[in-house]
Amino acid sequence: MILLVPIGTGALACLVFVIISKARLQPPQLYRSWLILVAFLSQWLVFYLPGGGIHLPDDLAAVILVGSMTALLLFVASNHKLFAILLLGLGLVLNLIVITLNGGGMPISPETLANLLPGLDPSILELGARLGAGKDIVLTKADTILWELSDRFVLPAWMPFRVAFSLGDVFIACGGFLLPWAGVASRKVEKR
Amino acid sequence: MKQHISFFLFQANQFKQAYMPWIIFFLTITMLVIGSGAPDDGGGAGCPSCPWHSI
Repeated sequence: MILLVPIGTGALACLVFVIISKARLQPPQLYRSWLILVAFLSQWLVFYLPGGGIHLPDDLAAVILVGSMTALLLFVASNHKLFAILLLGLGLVLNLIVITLNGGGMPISPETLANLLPGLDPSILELGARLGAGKDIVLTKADTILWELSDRFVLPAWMPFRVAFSLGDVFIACGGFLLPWAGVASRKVEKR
Repeated sequence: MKQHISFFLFQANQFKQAYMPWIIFFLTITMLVIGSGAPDDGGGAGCPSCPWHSI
């Protein structure tokens, strides 16, 4: 849910800009969009469908996650001329690197989880296992390769969402904010 | 009746030409952003009423 916020705010800001500046709006041409559909559907079945991937072996979930993110990377490579896609692609690469190096899941440390969920009992966490049916795996900071790229940031307590996120997620959010702007044509509407 | 159907089809076509590219574009970038990111809300505990856990 949290990653939909930058797209929404970006679209809103873009709309206000277009109304004020009278610029033209035209959706940009995206190539190989089917890769996104394939990647998203496979992730949806495994990670987001309620009860969908909870019984799936961790190894298979890891393969699906890395495979789907590689498909998204191919899409980014096909559309690299758009700056927003490039920025998002940078975040995707950072996430893909840390996920691949740590066994196919985004590492999250017990300390970050305790920060995220103050009432959590650390004894129920199984190190090296997936966290629920999500993309994360629980790993200590010492056991994490490239810990700097893992889910180590937590939103401030005053924000309505309690979410841990990575550096790659920050770039993805920035790309998501800028993507609607890719539809703004530079030439203004000529007055008749 | 035939006129009504023609008018409806014309309106539907106008809507399709004006908005469908945008609907497809936003669906595409939404799927791209969700698929690329990996934020975690602690298995839904951070947002218990939201069916889109961890997105």
